[in-house]
Amino acid sequence: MMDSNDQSMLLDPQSAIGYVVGGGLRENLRVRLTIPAQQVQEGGFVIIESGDWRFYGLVTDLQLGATDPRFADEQSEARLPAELARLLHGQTLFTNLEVLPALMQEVGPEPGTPAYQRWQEEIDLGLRPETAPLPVKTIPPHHAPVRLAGPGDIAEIFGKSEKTGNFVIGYTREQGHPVCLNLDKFVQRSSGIFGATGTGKSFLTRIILAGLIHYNRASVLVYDMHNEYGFDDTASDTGKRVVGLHTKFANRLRVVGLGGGALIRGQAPDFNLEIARRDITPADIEMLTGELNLKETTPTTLDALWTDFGREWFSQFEAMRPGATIENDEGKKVPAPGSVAYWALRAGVNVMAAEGLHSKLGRLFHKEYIVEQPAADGVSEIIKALEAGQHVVLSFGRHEEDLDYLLVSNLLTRRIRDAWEKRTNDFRARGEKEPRPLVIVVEEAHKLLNRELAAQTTFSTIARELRKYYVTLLIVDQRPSQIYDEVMSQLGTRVTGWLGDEDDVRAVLSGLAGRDALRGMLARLQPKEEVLLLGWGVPMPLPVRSRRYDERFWEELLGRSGAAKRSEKDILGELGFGA
Amino acid sequence: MSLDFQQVRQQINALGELAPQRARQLAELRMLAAGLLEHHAEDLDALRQRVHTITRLHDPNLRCALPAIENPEPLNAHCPLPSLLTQATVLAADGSQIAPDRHAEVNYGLINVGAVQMRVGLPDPPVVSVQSRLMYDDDLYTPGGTITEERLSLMRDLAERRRLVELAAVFRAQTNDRSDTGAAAPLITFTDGPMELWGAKDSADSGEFERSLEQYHVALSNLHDLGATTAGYVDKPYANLVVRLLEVASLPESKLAEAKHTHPLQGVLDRELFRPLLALGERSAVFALQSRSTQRYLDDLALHFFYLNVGREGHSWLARVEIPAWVARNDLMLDNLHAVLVQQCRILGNRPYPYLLHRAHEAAVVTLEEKDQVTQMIALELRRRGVEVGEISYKQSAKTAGGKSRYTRRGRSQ
Amino acid sequence: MTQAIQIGRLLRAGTSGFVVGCRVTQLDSPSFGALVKAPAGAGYDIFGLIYDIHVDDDGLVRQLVTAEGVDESVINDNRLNRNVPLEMSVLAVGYRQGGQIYHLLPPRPPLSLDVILLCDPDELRRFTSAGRFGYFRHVLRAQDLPVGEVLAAHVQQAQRAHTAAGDPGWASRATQELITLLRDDYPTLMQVLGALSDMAAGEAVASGAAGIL
Repeated sequence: MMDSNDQSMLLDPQSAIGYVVGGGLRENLRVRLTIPAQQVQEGGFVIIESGDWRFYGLVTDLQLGATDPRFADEQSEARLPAELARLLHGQTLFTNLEVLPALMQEVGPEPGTPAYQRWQEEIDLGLRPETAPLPVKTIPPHHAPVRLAGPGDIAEIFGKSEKTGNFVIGYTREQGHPVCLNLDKFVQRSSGIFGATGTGKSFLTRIILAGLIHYNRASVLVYDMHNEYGFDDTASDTGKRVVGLHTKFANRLRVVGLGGGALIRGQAPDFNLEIARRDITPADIEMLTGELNLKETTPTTLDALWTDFGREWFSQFEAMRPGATIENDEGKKVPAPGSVAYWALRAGVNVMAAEGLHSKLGRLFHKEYIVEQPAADGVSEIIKALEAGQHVVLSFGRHEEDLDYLLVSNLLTRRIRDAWEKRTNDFRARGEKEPRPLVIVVEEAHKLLNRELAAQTTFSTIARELRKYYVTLLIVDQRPSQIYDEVMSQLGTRVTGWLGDEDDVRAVLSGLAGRDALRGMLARLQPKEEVLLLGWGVPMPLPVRSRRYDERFWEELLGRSGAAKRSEKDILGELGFGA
Repeated sequence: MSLDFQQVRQQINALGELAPQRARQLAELRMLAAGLLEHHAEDLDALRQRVHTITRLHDPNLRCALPAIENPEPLNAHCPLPSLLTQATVLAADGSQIAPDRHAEVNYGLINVGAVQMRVGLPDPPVVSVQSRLMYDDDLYTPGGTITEERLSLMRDLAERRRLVELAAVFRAQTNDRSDTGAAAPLITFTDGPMELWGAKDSADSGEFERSLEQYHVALSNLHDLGATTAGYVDKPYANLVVRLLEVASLPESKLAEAKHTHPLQGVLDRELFRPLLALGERSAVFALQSRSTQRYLDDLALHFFYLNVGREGHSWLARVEIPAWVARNDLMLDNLHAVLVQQCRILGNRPYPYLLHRAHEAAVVTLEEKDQVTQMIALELRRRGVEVGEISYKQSAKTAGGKSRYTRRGRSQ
Repeated sequence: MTQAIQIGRLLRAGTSGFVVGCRVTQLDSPSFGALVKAPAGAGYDIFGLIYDIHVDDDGLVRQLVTAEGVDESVINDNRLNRNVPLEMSVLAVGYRQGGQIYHLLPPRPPLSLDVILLCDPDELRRFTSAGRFGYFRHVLRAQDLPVGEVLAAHVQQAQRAHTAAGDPGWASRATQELITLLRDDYPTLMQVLGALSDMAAGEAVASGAAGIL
């Protein structure tokens, strides 16, 4: 038996692999296979031709069948000569494909016929809309021929890879045709990259970020919790060097380190970020309730602090001395002025609650990147860079605790979103410059976007706002089931690797049609090799062999010299052709 | 109209009543006959004398056996089976006839003679031939009127014997086989039934009969000239010729005049008489045939006969074989005939009958369908020539309109 | 050269077939599964397949076997001289009228037959390649007939005719059609395929090659 991969490479894409025998819109189409089953795989992208229409679908299951169970049970190849057994099996034993129909497109009459001429004219005259792939609303008839998609079909649906804005994310599994993501669509809504630990999410993220940065229609802000994206890294399993985004995009990407004097992977970042105490609001603290194990009394205490001290509340609270007592006139020990208790009594706040809060906030008080007076206004710097069209990777350095991540990313994002909201309003009301789209890349998103925190973080607000203020998220996570489902359902494009947990699978597929069929496909992805493209942002679900993040990737993206690819026009010009 | 079974039943009862007694009587008579046979076994001259006396003086129509003049054998002789021949050729012929049917559309007759020729001892299959002769127009009439069934039978018998002559002549012409003694190779011929040509003698057709008899004699003579053995084979013979001889032999002198009416051994058949006498394959003595009609067969043609046990282990079966004088007096021919007939009968196992006669009969037989076909063929020819064809009689059409059987593939026959 | 078999009598006939009694010397006897042709009028021939050959009881032969040992001349006599009375059952599978072959049941059964002809290879080839094996229906629909055996014998004979004319793929196409027709009738299909494979095995042995099918 020939290696099935070889065989599929030789298959003429135009030749039929089967014909429709049943099924429907809801339950998927059933296709009788006319070629050996090994030549088709789950996830195969197939085309069904039917008169003026073409249907695009995904193979979601393969089933063996027989016209009578006895033909399947009895091994007639033992009883009959080879030729007879072959003829018999050809008619009585078969394989059916289950095909999830995703898109349909009107392709008109046969090219070359007068009917086709008329049809084409109608389109040109505007009497008939230009044909484009639509969500499938009807089905092909019985016996409609089915074939594997060719590169042209894939380009038709997913876009031509030569066109700017189309970024090759991977290749079809059977025949290795390139599949593109449309980056404009990608950033129009929040998106997600999912996969169990070790399935290569960070590599996939790097690839997509490289694409976005290279395309440069939106700015990218990466919360790099584990210092992976900015500078070169080493792969944990192979030990090979992994190129950092800064290495390749030095002129337009800033690496920012958290905390003054921080070094990222031994290198100095472009600048450092320090948080001013006065930038921390009670809301920021309330968001850390779970992390700091704060009590229910916290909001009341914070409220009182804010009333009393305004923006200085954090500094003031930090300055209070817990448990300090003095003796009063009667000789009794009373809270000393400047103590937590002293203030609490004065503010009418429960002393125990206040002292408890103070002690819990101790972790924050000791953070070296929270300072009274930052050396520079790091936040504004970041915002300015982003508005100017640059990209920022905020590396957390050695501050890798969840606490750091939660606090800093939320705080920063809040500021950024506010800035963008203002810009958007100025643009809409007064016709000023349109804000530059921004994509915020959030790792370990389930820490920030779970149900408990849903109401409290800016992230969920952003996710739910869609792109009202030109800001979207790119979520990278391995536990999508922990993410607030309202947020999940708002995600446009989902690129997911293998997921083991049932809940996670369900979460990734939430809000999508054809879930059941895709569920199995998800479970059978090859970890590190394959991903499934899903969601509003892609024309139809498709499993692909993901692209490798290696030298070749960079060559293809940037050209050999590392510069942007030259256009065909340029090349022709250099050779002396064209105007 | 069907039988009145009531009447018949009554008569059967009466018959049954008498049966046991009759059986006992016959058994006694048989014993008596056997005794007489023993008693007179050697008195050949006396027997001949007695018969002559009666036929001359009292009953010229006496029909009985007569000790042969040449090579006479005792009455109770039984001769063992001679050894099987090699180099003998056997010829058998049999005929069938279609009588003119005035009820049919067209009137015609047909005589069909089948003949089979075989060489003993060789694996070659026999050669079968058929001769069909259509009779029409004048053929169908005799001075007495339309041809009768009897006349037709006679013509058939004649045709059979003549066919033997033809084939024998051809055989002799083609082969120069000589036996060890230098004589011509043995050629044994026979037909079914007595050799005597039967036919109406005292009717308007007697002239016809005479002519036919002459032709018959010529045929027999031809066979004699060709050195062939010829015989007539009678299966399950009903004759009582030897018994009659014993009857007249036992008559007292005084009663000779009443010979014609005296049948003390009536009911006893010759074959019953010889059955205990002849072992398997044995033949009885050869007897001459005394009768008015056989007066015509003279000299070489004089008719003789013997009984032959052609049965198999545990089942005796007696046949009567009629032969002409030239065979009776020729020991070699007689033995050859004896051996061939027994061998032929053995072929058919538990129903002994000469195989070649059976085959000849098969060849000669005309089936009803074949007969209809010939009728149709004649009718077609006549119509083609513009000649009117008769209708079948309504009597006939009523007879032939029977049931139908339907074609279905389920059952073989309905 | 068509081999004319003389008919003794037409016993029964209908549109689905007919039964014929004939006397044929054993050398010429027609074979099971053979295609025969019955001319039944001007330019109208009925085609049929022999599905049963039945030798009637022969009284003489019964006698002969009761004797001790049968002489060789007698055996030869019966083999060569005596006309064996055969009863042949023929299943109608089509007809030809006005030069056109149809695989439908003949519109009229034979009424009176003189002669039935064994189709020669050329005629066999023409009949079996007219249309798309429509005549298989008649065989498959029939009951009380050894369907598998009749088809196998017929396919074997037709295949020989087609191979001789340069088309060795006929049997494969015929088998394909049979499988299609019998897809829902497992017992009959396996019976037919069993017969076909036995036939193929026999042919392979006979031809010394690795199967003709």
